[in-house]
Amino acid sequence: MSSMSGQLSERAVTRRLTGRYILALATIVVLTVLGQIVVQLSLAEQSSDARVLNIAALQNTLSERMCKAALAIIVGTEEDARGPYVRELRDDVAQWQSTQIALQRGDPSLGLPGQNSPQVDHLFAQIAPSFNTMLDGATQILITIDNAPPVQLPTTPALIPALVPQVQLILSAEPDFVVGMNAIIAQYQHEAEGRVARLQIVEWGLLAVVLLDVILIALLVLRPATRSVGRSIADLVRAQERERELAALKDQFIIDANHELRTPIMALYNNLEVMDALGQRGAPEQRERILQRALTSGDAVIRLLTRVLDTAALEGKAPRLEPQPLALASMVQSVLETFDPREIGEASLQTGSSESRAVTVHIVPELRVLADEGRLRQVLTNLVGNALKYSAPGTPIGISAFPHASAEGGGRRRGRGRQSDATSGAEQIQISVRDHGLGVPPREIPKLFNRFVRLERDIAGTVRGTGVGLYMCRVLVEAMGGRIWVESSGVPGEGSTFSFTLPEASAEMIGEAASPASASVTAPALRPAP
Amino acid sequence: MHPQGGARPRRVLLVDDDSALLAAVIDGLELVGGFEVVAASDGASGLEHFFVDQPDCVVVDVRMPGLNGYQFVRALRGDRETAQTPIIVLSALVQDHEQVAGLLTGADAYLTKPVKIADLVRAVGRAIELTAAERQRRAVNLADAQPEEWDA
Repeated sequence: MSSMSGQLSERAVTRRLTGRYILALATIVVLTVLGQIVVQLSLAEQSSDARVLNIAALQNTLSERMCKAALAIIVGTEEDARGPYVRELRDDVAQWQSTQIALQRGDPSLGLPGQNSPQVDHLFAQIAPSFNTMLDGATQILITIDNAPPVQLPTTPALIPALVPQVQLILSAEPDFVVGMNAIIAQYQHEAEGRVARLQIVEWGLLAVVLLDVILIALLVLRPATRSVGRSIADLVRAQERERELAALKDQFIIDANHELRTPIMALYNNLEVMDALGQRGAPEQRERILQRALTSGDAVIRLLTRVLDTAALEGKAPRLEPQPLALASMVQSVLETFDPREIGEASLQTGSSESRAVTVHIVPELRVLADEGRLRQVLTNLVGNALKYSAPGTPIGISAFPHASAEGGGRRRGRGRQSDATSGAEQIQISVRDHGLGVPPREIPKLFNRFVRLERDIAGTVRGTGVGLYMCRVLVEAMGGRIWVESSGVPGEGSTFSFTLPEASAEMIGEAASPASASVTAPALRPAP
Repeated sequence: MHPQGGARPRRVLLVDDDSALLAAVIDGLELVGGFEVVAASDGASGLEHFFVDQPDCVVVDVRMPGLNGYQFVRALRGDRETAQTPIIVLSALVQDHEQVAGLLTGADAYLTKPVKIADLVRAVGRAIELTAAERQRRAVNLADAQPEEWDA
């Protein structure tokens, strides 16, 4: 469940980052396009301004040429040379006049926008008198020449007196025109520089926004994405490590299971071989003894196989349960009755006698739990078996059960908060199995209830096991709505206390199924404590 | 090697910490092989029995509390007086390196559980028949062999 929510959260983060990334990229694209538009506009305006300035400056040149041509017409000494001055004056006046109009009203053919500022319009208005004076003067000169009789050529000296006043008019107005035109050029220049400055501000603004966008991408997209990728890589590495660990544990499990199976199988087979060799010769008691040994070995094989197969069957699945109210005291008693002292290494081979061990059971008869009988028996068998296996012969073992004080009590635990819905809210009973054996090193406690896990000392040691017993206990206890944990200092002799909780069976559940139980139960096979 | 009297059956010391297996193999060696069997449940008591009972052959498990099987074999092979004792390692450890380790300690044979009584009886018989020269030659051959030959 937590894994699923984790995946959903990862997907949400990925979606959010992807959205931010697309938004940021779109912003950059828009800003880049805007920047290009601004640059193109800027180039177009600068080009237009340059054209206007050039043409405006040309007006001064034309006005000077008009003055020169007019003067040349009246002061020229060679009559034949005056003709070109008249043509020049005519051409210059025409161009000068049209350009002046184009500057004020615009002319697409010349690339003049004609949208002047009020300041420029005002300046044009100021030079209008001088412009008109010069234009009138030049026009009069050309009219006078054009209207002269054919015998009086344009260059005839007789016409000159009539032209002089117009020339003087032109010359007198030209300085004002030039000054005014220079003012217009300066204004054009000033306005063009202003436009360039404004565009530069816009361009810098766009650049700043792009930079800000990049910074936001780095902060809101790249950094979280990098962290997310880093986390994903770390998760992958951890998953790989877990895989490797699990593979190593599985390998060790196969070795252990192999080892565990071979010995009882050999004992079983050898007993049958002995029976076969004995034929009818053996005494009935001897035959019975061998048969019992074969059966015991067969039981060991079956138990081990069942445990292995249970583990495989439960991989990723919840065990099937048939919970019912169970009297704990009688259940513990029946479990203890199944233990054979020889099987748990308590036999003295030379004498054939068993060293008894004190097993105290403190369970009040009223205690009833809601559990699956077979699964609870499995858990108890495993914990009691471990207590016997991992503690020295003769050391005491204690089994107790009492109402659990709180849901969070006890020492180090597994499966906290995994109570099933069906049982959450019910009172819990805590069952504990205490031994005085080698204990569990504290650093190995956290992984003790994982699959295939065996203590390091046991892998290299002589205590047999496959590393699935406690894992099965955890799976089964949690499936029944309880938790399991171990408390141990890891100091040899101080032993361990394995505890688990189960829901208490309510009075309604017990109903008529309740059965009487003894106040204190002891195991006949193991000498009870006084 | 202990001198053998003509009437006395061969004596086998069986050392294994699994009581169920021990009981079955004791009966098997006695009934099928006709051996006299003494047994011990760990390496240390096995050594005690060895010096007390002076067996003609030792069958020893590997994983045992205290002195393990390999240590047991090395203890016998390392002593001039007991170096020629016929020894069979009987183990549930089936990996190649375990078998090689068992043979390198000086055992005459490495049998992996489960073993039929008849096979164990034959192995004990062969080990008892090994001469000191043959044992020495086998040890030299084993030491000279390459790992792949061990597998073969």
